[in-house]
Amino acid sequence: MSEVKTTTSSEHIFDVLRLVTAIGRPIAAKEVASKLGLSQTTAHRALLTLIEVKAIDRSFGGGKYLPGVLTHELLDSLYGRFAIRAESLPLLRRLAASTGETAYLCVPIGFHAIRIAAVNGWKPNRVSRVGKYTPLNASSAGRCALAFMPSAIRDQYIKQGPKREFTIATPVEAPDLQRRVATIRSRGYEIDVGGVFDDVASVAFPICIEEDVCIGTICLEGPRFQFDPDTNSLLQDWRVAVEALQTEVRKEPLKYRSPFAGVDPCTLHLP
Amino acid sequence: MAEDENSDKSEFGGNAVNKATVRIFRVLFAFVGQSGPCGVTELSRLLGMTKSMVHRALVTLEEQGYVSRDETTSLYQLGHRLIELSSPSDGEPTVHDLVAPFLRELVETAGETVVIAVPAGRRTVIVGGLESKQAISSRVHVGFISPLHVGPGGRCILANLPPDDISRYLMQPLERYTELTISDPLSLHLELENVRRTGFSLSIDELTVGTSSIGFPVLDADARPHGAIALSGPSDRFNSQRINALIPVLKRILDEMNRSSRLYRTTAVFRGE
Repeated sequence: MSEVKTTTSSEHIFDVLRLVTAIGRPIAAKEVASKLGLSQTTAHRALLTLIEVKAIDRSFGGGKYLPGVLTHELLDSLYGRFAIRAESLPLLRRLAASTGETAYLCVPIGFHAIRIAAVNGWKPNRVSRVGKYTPLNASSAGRCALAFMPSAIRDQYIKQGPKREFTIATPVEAPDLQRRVATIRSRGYEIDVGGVFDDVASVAFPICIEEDVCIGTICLEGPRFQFDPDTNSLLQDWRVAVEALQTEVRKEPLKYRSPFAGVDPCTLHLP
Repeated sequence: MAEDENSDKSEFGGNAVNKATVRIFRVLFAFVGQSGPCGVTELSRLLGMTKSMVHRALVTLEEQGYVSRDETTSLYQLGHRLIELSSPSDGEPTVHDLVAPFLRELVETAGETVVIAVPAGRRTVIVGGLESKQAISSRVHVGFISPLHVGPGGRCILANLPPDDISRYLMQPLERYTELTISDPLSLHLELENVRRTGFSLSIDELTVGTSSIGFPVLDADARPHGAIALSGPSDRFNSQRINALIPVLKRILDEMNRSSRLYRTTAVFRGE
């Protein structure tokens, strides 16, 4: 039987907070203890500490825990460190209003792509949410960022394995990813159909502050039954608008450089 | 141990809260809404904590990657590891989310009303659906409750529960709604086997005389039921010829739906009581 941890150092309490935010639904103290290998007393104590600082809340009906308002605000402040977020909002609004789908900005962090801004369109079914992240291989945003990363980092990622396969359409093998990257570099954008969820399609265009330094991707995503990226007639207008945004950010590359550009991808522990 | 020195009894039922960790989180949350980097003095003033307390908290947070320190200015900003507090997925979708994209196609294909049902203890509850545009059609009665063995949606759920849960269900008396309700445990057991074999359940005049329906399970990653859908309408439209023609067409749509629903694990729990 594995050893049950009984200490409540801040790192253990961060582990509990990470689990509460990652699970995507209210979670009971017993499940926290079981998933993290903590004693129930330690898990309960960590949860009480997190409630005390408003990092988590109790769910309605009691008994379970969910991320608190301060954790959401903390993440919003973190995403605000990316100067490209404020700059891209007018374009996201225009894209969402033109298509009815959700337009969002993704930034690469380590070997993941994370959504840090989103604007919903007018269509009733939507799928995107700020804070969602995927490994670089899985989404159009991730592969697009990968294609315009420095070649050494790109090769390191493509050659490492194994990669998470969300659906049968997720590219996981190195030769497949290499082919996709070559296509993206040649046509300037990426399309994904069912790579993360079977019924979701998306398109992503890169924003680079210089050649092979991608700081983000402007994306559009929707359920497949209402969004067909292959036949979308706005790709050309969209490309022109993203290139205009890119021209602006290239005037001040230091301002728009990712605040975590130098972070070693291996120090991020994302599932 | 350090944790004991820093522990205190809080208002939460006498359980101990770690005071040192509370301080660390207060320092971290002080960055919320700040427009730029912060120094020790500024944070100390903002929080009403001594500079040494703030500094100790910042050192811990920096060691763990939750804040970063600019070597030139000695100011602190939120760090890259906070990204780990983002959520990897959109959470677990409800059965309604999973079925919704296919509702219109099902209604248009069958010409009948479709309802979505989820298990609730020994019963099912209708949580949504889409009504047929035919002059005579069934209503979507959200909130309608019926026992799992009555009606095709409930039976599709029951048939896909683990065998122990089915046995527990069959041990309780089986209510009867009309002459055609299956209320004998052996007949129900055989019908559940039939549902597992064919992938659907048919109900003629069983819940209400004059209304018939056909149900299909919505399965999860472990082939347990998220819930079920049922097409419902006047009994005179549910003759065997029409049903036999409809089933293969509906199954193509439903297979597609189940490919999506089987990406997730259900949170629905059967309680035999």
